[in-house]
Amino acid sequence: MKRIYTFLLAGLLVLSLSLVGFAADNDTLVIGTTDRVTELSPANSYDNYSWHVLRSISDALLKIKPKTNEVAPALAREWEVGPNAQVYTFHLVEGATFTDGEPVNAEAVKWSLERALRLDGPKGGVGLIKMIDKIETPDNSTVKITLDKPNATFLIRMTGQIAASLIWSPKSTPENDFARGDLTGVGPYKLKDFTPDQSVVLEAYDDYYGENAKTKTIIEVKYTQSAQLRSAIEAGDVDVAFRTLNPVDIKQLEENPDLETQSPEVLPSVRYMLFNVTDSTFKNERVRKAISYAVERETIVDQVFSGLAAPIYTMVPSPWSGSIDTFPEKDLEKAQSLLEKEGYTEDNPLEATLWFSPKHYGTTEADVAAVLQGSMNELPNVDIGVQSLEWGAYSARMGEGGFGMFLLGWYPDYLEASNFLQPWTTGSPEVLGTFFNHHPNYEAYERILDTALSTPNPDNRAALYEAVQILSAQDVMWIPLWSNLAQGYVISKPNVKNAFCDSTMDIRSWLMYKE
Amino acid sequence: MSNLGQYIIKRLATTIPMLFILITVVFLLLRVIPGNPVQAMLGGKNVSKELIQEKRRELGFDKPIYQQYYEYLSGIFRGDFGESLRTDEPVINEIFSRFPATIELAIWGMSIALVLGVSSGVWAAVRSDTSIDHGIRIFHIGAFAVPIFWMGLMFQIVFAVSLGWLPVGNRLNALSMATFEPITKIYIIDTLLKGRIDLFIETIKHLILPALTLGIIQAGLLGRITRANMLEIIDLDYVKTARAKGLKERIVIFKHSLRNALIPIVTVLGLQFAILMGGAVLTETVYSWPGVARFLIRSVDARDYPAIQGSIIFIAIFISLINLIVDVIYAQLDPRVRY
Repeated sequence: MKRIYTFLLAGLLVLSLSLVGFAADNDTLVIGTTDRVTELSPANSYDNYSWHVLRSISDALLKIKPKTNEVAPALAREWEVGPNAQVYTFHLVEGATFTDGEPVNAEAVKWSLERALRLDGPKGGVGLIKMIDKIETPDNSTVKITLDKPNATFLIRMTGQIAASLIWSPKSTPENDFARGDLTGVGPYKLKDFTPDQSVVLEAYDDYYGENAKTKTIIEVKYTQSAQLRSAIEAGDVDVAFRTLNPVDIKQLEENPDLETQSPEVLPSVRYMLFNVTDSTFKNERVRKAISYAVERETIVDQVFSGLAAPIYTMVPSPWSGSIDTFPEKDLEKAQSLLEKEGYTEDNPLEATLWFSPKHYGTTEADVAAVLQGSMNELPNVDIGVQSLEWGAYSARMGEGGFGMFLLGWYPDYLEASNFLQPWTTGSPEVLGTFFNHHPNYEAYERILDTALSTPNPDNRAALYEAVQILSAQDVMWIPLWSNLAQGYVISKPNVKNAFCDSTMDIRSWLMYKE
Repeated sequence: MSNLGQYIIKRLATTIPMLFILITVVFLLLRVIPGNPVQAMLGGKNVSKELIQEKRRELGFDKPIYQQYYEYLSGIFRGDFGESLRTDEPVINEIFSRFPATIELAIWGMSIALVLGVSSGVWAAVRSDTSIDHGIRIFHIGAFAVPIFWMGLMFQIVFAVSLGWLPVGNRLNALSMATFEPITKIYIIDTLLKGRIDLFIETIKHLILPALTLGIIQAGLLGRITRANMLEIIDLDYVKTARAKGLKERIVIFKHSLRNALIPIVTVLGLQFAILMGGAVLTETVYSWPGVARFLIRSVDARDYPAIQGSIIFIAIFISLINLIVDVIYAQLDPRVRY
């Protein structure tokens, strides 16, 4: 027995000696996240995190300059836009090579974009660059792209924000297959290892044509929930925690003297209420307008998000060109009066249901719905109930027109005002549940937005976007509610530099390093 | 053929109808609950109705349910559980790649449950009606009553965050995960096979909290059963005789009493394993443990029918096998049982 105790004691000793915190050296940076890769395929994935990884391992013709909304050179050092925004000519940088050593030239760019357009996977976002009609290569370093119709947003779509615009090596990338990680790019990093639902390992590419990555190895580790991610950064298991921590966790981590918090200046993640304009109750414009006067934004921001959100009165985020506040502040008297005009009284109240999905946008959704319900039910002639459905059922029912009034959220595909206006109006009104294509003003929206997209002058374009926002406050197919800042918070150890999230809603892994 | 062999074949034969019923129920339930797997697969943004219809046709979800069922069943007989809608990989590959993580956690969880449950149960019985007994009984009830996710979170906060002794989750540290190439994917074995004592220790460190979380819950029930059985047995005549013969108390308790008290414990072990697999769903989530249970949760979220069906059937087969093994052990322990 004595021997057993001795053995156990020795075991415990060895174990306790090894119980020291894990710390990677300065060549390795560990990022913790709750996001997951759905598929590492530029032509068949459509989610923020998969695209984040793809952007780490390849570049596009252009990029968004960090901490700005400016389009900057990447594989294209210069570019020209044709007079009607239909023809774009890009001049490539010299000396860039893919990570397989092959040169990046005009043919490679053409091959790569055409590959994406050809594959156009059902789970992907290739549709966002599908306006490309023809790609020509007048010489080895010039790419001329002609669109099927004028589109002034094309440059921003070529910044790599849309994964389909990233460039891959023709030599090492499967031509007729989604590749699923078997991709050779021209990015600051190479994909060294990817284990689904566990980790992504990126290794710096030494011959990168731009400024080399500041950290040799980046390991991105998946945690299941915000609570685990929070514990991981507190325990020192990860150097950086990014996307997505709960507001309460962020507030408490901000108090932690051993950690640094980078808050986003702005984040184009918008949350809003939508109406099905064909619904028997909500086809009435006055009813929709009354609701827009009744909703409470400040309580959502303060109580549900602990201040880590901002109330919004338009769908287009404020720093974007063309953003203009058009929706009203809360005014119960006006709301009540509008409803009374439609015959809703205390004895005959407006009865309706607000639908939400309890987990898809985080764990705060039920609280948000409760606040909104409470604020609407302050009106004596309103009786709103709330109901929820898990996302699979929610999205299906939404597309079938099963909700009159419901909550959704939007993360932009590309950083331009049209991406905050088009989807629910003229883009995919049926799939996204507004059925706005049945609205009498539908054609007006179509004309304005089509004109805007073919208007190269940004100021003129902005004026047209403003017009859409003014109209939207009249037609009220949506009610902008708040912008979610929590997703842009980056928590890091104090020795980690350049850990920030800008308007791209992404961190720039290659700029981060440890001192 | 020996009696044991016949018994095993008989048990396997009764397992087949059970699996058949399970497959049918899971298949039908998935089709009844709201939600469109194709829409979930394609995401909610800018997906046209035409594309959704096209994918439904391609995946066979537009066919009548009986036809889908027939095709699914015939696939299973060919060993084809279909492809995951989420990852496009064969479901069976997805399960096998994650199963070692689950089994490693389950074995350690069950080991902790057995050691903690049986020893505390024996101790409580031996010190019956003393303060030690009361304390242990409170532990048993508490352990079984505490929600598994809460216990997991508390362990993380205390041992990982406050004390910094143990990691928060995953099977290895990030850097090790990136460099270590497993053989069997059971890390305790792989790290030893590769002579990586550092990673072996790291693996144990990562296992401690999830295995404790899983084990303590089970230990509560096992402890209560052990105590109750021991109390019955230590009052029996043959135990008194053993004492009267002057045998040491340790031998009376462990050799004469515990062996007989173990019989009902072994009986519930099979069922405990089923509960353990249920607990693994929460434990794997809390500790970001990349096992089958977490895969199942993700698949449910994504309405990934083939993956849900495959995972549940796989877990059911596994639990059936465990129960069979338990029954065989039971018969070995209890000489009254004949095949």
